[in-house]
Amino acid sequence: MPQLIEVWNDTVDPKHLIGGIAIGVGIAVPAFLISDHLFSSSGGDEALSHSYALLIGIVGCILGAVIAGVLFKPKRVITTSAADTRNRQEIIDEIVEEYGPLGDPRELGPKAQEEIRALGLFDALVDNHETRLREKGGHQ
Amino acid sequence: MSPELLEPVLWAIGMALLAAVLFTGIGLISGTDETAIVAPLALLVILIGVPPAGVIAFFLAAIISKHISHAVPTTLLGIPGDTTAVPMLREAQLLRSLGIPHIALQKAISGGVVSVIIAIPLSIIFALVLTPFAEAIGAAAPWIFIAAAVLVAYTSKGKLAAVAALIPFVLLIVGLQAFIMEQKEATFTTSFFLGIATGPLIFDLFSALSPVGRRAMAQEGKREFNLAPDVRPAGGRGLPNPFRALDGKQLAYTGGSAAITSATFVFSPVAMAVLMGEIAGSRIKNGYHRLTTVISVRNGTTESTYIAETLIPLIAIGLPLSPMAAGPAAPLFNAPPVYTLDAQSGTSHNLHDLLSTGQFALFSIIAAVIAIAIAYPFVMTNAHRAATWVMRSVSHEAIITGFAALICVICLYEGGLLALGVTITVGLVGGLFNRMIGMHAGVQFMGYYVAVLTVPALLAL
Repeated sequence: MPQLIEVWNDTVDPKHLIGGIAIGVGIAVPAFLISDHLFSSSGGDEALSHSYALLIGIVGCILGAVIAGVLFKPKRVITTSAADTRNRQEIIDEIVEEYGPLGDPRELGPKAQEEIRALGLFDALVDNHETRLREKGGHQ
Repeated sequence: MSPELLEPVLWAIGMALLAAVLFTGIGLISGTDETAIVAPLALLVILIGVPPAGVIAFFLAAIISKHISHAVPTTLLGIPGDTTAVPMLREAQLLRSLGIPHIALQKAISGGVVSVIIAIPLSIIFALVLTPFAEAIGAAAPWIFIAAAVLVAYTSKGKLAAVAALIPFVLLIVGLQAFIMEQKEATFTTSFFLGIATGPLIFDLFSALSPVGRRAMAQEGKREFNLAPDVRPAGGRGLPNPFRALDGKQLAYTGGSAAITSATFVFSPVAMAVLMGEIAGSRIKNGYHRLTTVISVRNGTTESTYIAETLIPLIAIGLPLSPMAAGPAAPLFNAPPVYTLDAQSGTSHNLHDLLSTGQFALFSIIAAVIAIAIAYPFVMTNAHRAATWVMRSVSHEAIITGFAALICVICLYEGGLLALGVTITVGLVGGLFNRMIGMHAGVQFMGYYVAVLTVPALLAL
């Protein structure tokens, strides 16, 4: 397996990167230079023909990127985690550990309560809140 | 509608459509920084001769739709979609571990939509309030820019180091400009902007070329990404209304933050997103409700700060006097030969002079309506599928290829090989400062303006 490196915040294969840049620059730069030369030698407004050449150069950039995309596949592994199978209370406890208590959903407005009920989290949050209250009471 | 207005309106609609489709897609790709992506593409649109109505609509539709779809990688993959998505990462991850990433996404993008609707009219009103002072601000611009540069540098990750690094950075630009003047009897702008915007990429490419640098960048095998499961309830009941996805309190906090941040246009968008989230969060007792409110407020703030920081300096002053205007929106103020900013006389020929306030309002509304109408339903219904497709099919090599080619073509367009050399020089130094001492692109853009505005004023004293 080739040595992968991190460039601009994601993983690439250095050989593919060099290949890609060579393709992109190799298409876009000649496209710009040749069309710039052709447009300006055919007369007409100079600024405008310069802009048209730029447009063709950009089409070259896009074409180069698409070719590189077809040739070189992403270096990423995508895993889709199945929904966490652990006990709901364990998951909530873990979040509480990091963030602080999630609170009692019964104190919220009707709209927020309805949202939590639709998510199936209402009873779990109430249970967690009450367990926490009991524990706190026990410590005192 | 009068026939003179019909053509600009058609341009605005067309360019807003193009930007909304393009940037809804770009937003899905994680790590596509606004400055590095939006600024070069806005510049391109200007250089190929799109009229002002199309330029402003393109730009606003681009940032509005990107700041909706950037919530997709942030909430579903746990990696920030771009720089402004970083502040909502923690809430996104906690909601994701609670098993409800779709709620995180829904709250974030609904907050964004609500903020856009509030920020556009308010930014225009604040701009009108500021307009009488425009002349005084313009006269003081050289001193305001150096004060802003120091302030923005000090609030960056580099703190004092970034402030001190302004000296070599400004001198580098002054020196390059003098050499360009001597050789070509002209000044370059675009190649400096491109170098600053894509600095981290240029620095990384150099580093990858060097055996020493490559060792430090080595990765153990492919990187793993963990996509949250698609847990949306089956048989969706059509599109949720963004105003109904948030409850009363969330609407109030998101709207309030949007209103406040429409006025504070001189502060960094990321800092404001963090601050507004903290303020809203500190006032909500219930933990679950705090999580969902903060994510909505923070994403809302990314929209309102970007809109206000673009529209207020454009309408009122015509000088890029906000971190955002000096960064992603820089080409709207200065993109020679189309838009110019004369350093010595302080005169400008850019969108500020080309559009009336009424036209700004009209084209902004067109851009907002189109961007929301495209990005919001797309993200709502396709977030999971789109995130999977991007991660599996779009290689990072292809993205870098496109950018490397774009840098070459735009530089050759501006000033041949000398311009390309300027971009590589500024990009390598700027990227080094960015990566090693935490002096981000916004500070460097301010540094550019110090070089072209403050330095001549200092010498004239």
